[in-house]
Amino acid sequence: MTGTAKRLTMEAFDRLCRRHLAAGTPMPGYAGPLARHVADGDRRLLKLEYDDSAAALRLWSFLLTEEERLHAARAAGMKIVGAMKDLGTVPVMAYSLPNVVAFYPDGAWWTPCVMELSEGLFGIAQSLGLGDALCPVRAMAGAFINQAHFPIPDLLTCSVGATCDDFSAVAQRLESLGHPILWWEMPSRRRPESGEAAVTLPGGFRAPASQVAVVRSELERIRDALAALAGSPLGDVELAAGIRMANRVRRILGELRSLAYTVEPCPMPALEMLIAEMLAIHFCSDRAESVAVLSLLLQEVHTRMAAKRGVLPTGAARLFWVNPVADLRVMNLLEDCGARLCGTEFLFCHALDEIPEDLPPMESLASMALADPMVGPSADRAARIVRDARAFGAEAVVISRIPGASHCALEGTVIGRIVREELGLPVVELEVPPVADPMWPTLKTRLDALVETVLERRKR
Amino acid sequence: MERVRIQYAKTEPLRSPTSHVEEPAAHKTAASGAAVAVIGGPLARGDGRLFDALEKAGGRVALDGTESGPRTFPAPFDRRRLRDDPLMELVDAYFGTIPDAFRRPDTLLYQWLSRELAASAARGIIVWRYVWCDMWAAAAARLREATALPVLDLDVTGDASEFGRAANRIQAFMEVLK
Repeated sequence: MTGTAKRLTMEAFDRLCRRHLAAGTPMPGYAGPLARHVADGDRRLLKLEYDDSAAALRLWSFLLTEEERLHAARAAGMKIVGAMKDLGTVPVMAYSLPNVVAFYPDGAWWTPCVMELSEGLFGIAQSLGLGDALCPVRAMAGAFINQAHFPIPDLLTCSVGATCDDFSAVAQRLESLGHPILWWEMPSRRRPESGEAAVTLPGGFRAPASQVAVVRSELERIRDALAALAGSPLGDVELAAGIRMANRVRRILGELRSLAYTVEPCPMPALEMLIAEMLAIHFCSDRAESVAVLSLLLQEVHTRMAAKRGVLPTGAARLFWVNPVADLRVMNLLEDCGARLCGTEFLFCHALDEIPEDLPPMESLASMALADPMVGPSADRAARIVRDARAFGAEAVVISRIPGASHCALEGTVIGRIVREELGLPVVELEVPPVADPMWPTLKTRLDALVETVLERRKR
Repeated sequence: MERVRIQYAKTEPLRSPTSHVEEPAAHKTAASGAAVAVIGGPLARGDGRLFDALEKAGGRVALDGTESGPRTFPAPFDRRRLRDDPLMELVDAYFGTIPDAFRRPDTLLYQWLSRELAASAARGIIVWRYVWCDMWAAAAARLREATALPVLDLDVTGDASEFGRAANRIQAFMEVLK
């Protein structure tokens, strides 16, 4: 390690937390030791290693108390929207209303990891006919059945059409079990034909203007449903304000990513960056607090940069990571192998790009939704990865497959080929299950080999 | 409203529940045996062996609900609307009426099943699905709940050399139905 920043075990992280609380460090009411979550069954926390900072304490407490926040919101009379699959669009609309909170039930896909499979969600899903041939997001169905992880939303939405088949199948199963869903259609993004009216979407993809119009008309249905749920209109003024707030989150996160993925020595660990990125999609059920949490992380990064302090030795292999890992611990592992994150594409780059503020709000939101890397060809996604990997100066690309996820079957081949052709970088495909302990030696060996390859290439 | 079913190719008759890409002579005449519905994905060339195996095990296909069967026919066209607004008539016929597992919601599929299963008097359902098809994989359990009929969730790979396993499962399923 360089300087004093280092990763902490959970016990040490909790000691740090208690010290801050005893010293009167300003902390929100939800902040506290992680041991309380272990007591609730979140056993994976015992095996993770955490960033040594008050900012990380707040980040982790914020993440792990979301369920309580949602219950508190309901108790306070607020309406809860369960947005499914679109990863970033519907929550921007929902949070534009004062009495609505939104979250992604999809997030339950990490519950089997965090609880080390002790929660039985996969078993429940299996009993519903959703077996392990499907993405771990099938855990979501179990969470709806046992109602032990989040309150049942007042309104469920789900984007379909250009959507992973397994996700769509799980959502349909939910509806068959008595959870009505407002389905909205997401067309498969295609490249504009010659002479066809086209627009550049946030993030740089191009699409026919007619497709943006289709998505916009679908989002109008969502707007109507949200307004009816809230009992108040959701006009362009409210949406524009919501977009500005979402952009505030995205700008902070953008700066954080830019620094964390480029500065030497690495100023923020991979695991915290993964969690930080996740805040962008639905603000962890509290938009204002997500701004505060991300701002603290950014401040910590600036402090470390000023002190030339990092969390890893200078010269760590620079990896661009594709897809979120089903087991969070793998983010620690990549650093143990001598690597650092140098760019990511966790399936939701459209939730990181700023939403246009110079267009009518619904058109901006439709453009953003259509910029989802998962609704277009894998070659588009690969192009985005190439562009970002080049910008961040990545030296290798890791494609992390999610077991059973339909998009993972073949996209790795396409992305890997394009990355090799365009950048000439080494590419490794890994498969990370929700609890990867049995595969640890394999994963470590493959990442070790990739790091060795990167270091060897530097000598050329 | 004047509706008519368009026949696409004069040289090929419309498909019937037991007429497939490849149709062994044996099941052209089979009319006895336990009535079974086959529901699911497409049948490829050579998958006529499914029907052979079924009949050999003492069953018969009373309802073809595969993607290759009549389930996926578009609705009959309204001649007047076809003339006045052909695009919307095509949209309605193809996007508005074909029942399938991929639709959201998939209500049409279960309405179709309810009607057709009753008409066919099927005593069991074989779900013909490719191992990579998540839509039909997730539908199998629901079919069991929705129809209260015995369901054989038959996962296939398309590899002819593996059909023996499927045939054994069909045989076991038919023994249950007898």
